Amino acid sequence: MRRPSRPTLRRYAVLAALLSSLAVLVPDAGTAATQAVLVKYQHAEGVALEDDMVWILGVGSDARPGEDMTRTRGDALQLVGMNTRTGAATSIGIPRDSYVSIPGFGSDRINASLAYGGPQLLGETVGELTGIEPDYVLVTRFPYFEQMVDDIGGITVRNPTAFADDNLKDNGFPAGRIRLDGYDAMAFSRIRHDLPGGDFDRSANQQRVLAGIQARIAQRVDQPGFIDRGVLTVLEHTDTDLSPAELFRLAHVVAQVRPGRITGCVVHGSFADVGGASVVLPYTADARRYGDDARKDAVISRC
Amino acid sequence: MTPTPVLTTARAKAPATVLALAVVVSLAAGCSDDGDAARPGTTDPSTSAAPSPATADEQLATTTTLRTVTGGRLSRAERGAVRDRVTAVVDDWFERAYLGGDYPRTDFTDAFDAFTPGARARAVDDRKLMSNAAVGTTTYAVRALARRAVVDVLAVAGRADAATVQFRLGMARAGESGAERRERVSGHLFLTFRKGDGWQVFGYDVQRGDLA
Repeated sequence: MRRPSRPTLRRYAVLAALLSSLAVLVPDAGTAATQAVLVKYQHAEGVALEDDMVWILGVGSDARPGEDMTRTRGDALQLVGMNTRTGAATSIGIPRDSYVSIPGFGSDRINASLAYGGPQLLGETVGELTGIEPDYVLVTRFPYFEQMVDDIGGITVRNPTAFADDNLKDNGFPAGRIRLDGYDAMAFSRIRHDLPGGDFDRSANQQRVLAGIQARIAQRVDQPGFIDRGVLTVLEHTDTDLSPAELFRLAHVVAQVRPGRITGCVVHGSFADVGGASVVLPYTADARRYGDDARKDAVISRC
Repeated sequence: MTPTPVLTTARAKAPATVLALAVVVSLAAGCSDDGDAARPGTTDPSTSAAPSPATADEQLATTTTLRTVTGGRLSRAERGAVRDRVTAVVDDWFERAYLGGDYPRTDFTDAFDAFTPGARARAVDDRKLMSNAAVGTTTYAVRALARRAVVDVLAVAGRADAATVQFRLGMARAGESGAERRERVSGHLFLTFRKGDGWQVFGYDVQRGDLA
């Protein structure tokens, strides 16, 4: 009798579905120069890829052409963890308007920390909120994101609620299993006004997009040279301090995530007005609980 | 003792059928795309410290195909060198983990010498698949039936940085009575090159089962 493997063998690392990982995997995504920034987050631990866990903070940037995307306010924040031993992956979505303590800068919306201190400070800020500091921070422009989704042939997501947006998608997205090309994936990730849960639901939709990307990548990862071409694309379009070999290893971490082992939660909060600005006061205990839950295995047992 | 027939990979949704056919064809072809066909697995002196192989499989060298080079161009000589060095790593593992040594055998501690520390630790956990450790004491001889590899290389700025190896090892294990069990080990190895360490396996995706 065949026995399902306990240690079904895997590549040294594992996979996920995240905006951030996309940049590591997708074949040639256009001609623009720097469309993304991928940097190691400096902290005291050892080499991430020799650990069981890898954490990547993915940031979707709406920076305009010519703007330094590492000094603008990120529009989407997802802290993604991958367990290289089990293939589990999880994402902690953080609404961009979350009003938090930013080390050295008092309190502000969490995405302001990118403008104040770049990826490093954003990583620290997310670390204070969740208890997890990322190993890598990836900041990606939305047009690049769109092209990358197109390059992998589009994705499929399960949409729980029909919604639309006059500016981004006037004919909207129906509920159910839907196919998204690059533009639609971008719109699906950014629309919030028509969603009952606003920014919280948008963050959850970003996680659905990431899951869709992961599934698509998992379908193509066995194509000869797919990972290699993705690494080349990253090198061409991304300002990164990672070597080709490091990117290759990280890509395989992403490529090994098991679709059935992906979880994700969004940090909810209450709405408030601070100095005339509408913000979200995040439920910090929940954020910390998600981090504590996922820290060692990339699994959040409940949101 | 009955070995575990099959252990599947982590990628349940991969387009396995089409890919498998393509791989079988390419593996069966066993020729190099740079015209240097069917060269036996040349061992790099710096990485060929394999233990004494069983006599029978000395006759069978690994046939390696360099399938794709993505990125910068590599000269014919560089392509051959990469292929040979990667093959040497694969051979090192084949020999230490499955084919080499004196059977019955209990010591597999060096089976993963060509792996990074992290990958080595994983492979030790997975030693039932990644070596003959689980059947070493009941195996009296091992001979290779097939040793094939297809290599895809990532090369940036004229230097090979990483490689994916699709491999297939067929072997016949003989018990005390002399009866043989034919098995295959197949899958992928993922390697990177690092100065000082050379080519090392940092990841793998391996299945093991009976040979049809």
